Amino acid sequence: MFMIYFSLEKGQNQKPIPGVSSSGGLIQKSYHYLSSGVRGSTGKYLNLIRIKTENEQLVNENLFIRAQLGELTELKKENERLSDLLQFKSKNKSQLLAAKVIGQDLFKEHHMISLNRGKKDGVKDYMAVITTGTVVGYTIETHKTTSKVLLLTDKYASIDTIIQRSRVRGLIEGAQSHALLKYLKVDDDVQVGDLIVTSGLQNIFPKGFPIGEVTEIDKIPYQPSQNIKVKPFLNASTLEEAFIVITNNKDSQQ
Amino acid sequence: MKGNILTNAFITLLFLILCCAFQTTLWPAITTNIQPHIWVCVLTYLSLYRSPNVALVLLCLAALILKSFTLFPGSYLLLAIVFSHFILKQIKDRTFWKGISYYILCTVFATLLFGVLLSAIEAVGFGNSLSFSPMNWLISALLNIPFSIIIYRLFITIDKITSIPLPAETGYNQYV
Repeated sequence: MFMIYFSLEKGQNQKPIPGVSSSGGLIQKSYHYLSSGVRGSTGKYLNLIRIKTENEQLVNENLFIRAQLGELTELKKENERLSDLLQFKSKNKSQLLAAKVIGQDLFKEHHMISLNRGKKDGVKDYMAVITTGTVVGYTIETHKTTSKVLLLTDKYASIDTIIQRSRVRGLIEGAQSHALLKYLKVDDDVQVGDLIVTSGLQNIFPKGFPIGEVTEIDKIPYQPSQNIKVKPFLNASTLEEAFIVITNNKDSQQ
Repeated sequence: MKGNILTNAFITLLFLILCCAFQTTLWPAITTNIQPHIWVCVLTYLSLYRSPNVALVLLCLAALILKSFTLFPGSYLLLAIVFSHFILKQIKDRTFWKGISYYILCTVFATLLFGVLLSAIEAVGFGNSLSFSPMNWLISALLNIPFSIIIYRLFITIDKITSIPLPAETGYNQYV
């Protein structure tokens, strides 16, 4: 080995030894091929780890953005609802007090809700409670900061009403999922689809406020009155805000 | 009955208020179609695991608390609670075993019993038609089972902390 080295060092123009160079090159090529393969596999593996980490980060970001989107959607819906309520309140002549629904009755058979307004806000018993487009009920018990409202669908609720088209007067009584219009004579003019509105005679509700529509008429032969089923516009399960009528003007709309 | 009964009673009634508030405010946010009657679990525990005199006093106070969450007349509510307490006591005098299974069975029975009692009292008192819905009360009774497990564990712990002894299989005479 030393002899080969010294002989190479002596002459600068000396050519390298062919057998050694070509085998060395071949070995180098195979090493290079092997190392590029290893480098490629290692690179792929490192990429996979990086991609996995990035994927986890993106999933977390996605979840966070979805949660924010849900919150914003909820805010948007609340905004729309409150805008409707504000518009309704500004159109109404009566003095209205906005209230939130904070609870319901302990028993499902009793249709009652609790509002977050009470005596200190000027609320008294037997004040009308309405919402956009329909009657909710009336206050039945008031405490200092809360009130209980008897919904019009409760079997103990009764509201004086008239049929908007024919001006026939009757009494709406709750019957759980629907209401009954009672004390109409058998020959009174009533049709399916008629709109039932408040009469304003009890001095509780504003006059002409919608309650529901007639869905079924049952005229029993030889009976002095007819049984009329009314579908209330009130959907108590989705009710979140309502207005308590503090001072009532006879005409509800401008 | 030895132990700090006043503290125990205060905690029990406070928990009853929390249960009623949960049922009337938080539960409707989940669903309005069906509801448990968690307050029945609390009243059943009082009927089964307290001496008759203490139970009666606590149940009267419980009726006052329940009245503030419903439009149902307080006197009729008290009548239903006292009557159901009497029936549960009679059952306990004849059949009793220690453990959560007895309590769960009694809770389910008490829930159905309350449904019948409240509807019957309403029909007699108001002359109104029965609004008892058997399916609703049956679902409520089944929904009460997981809550009764939680309440039983919680009240056992409270009883241990306030040194109130639990009754054994020999009956209720050890309350003397």
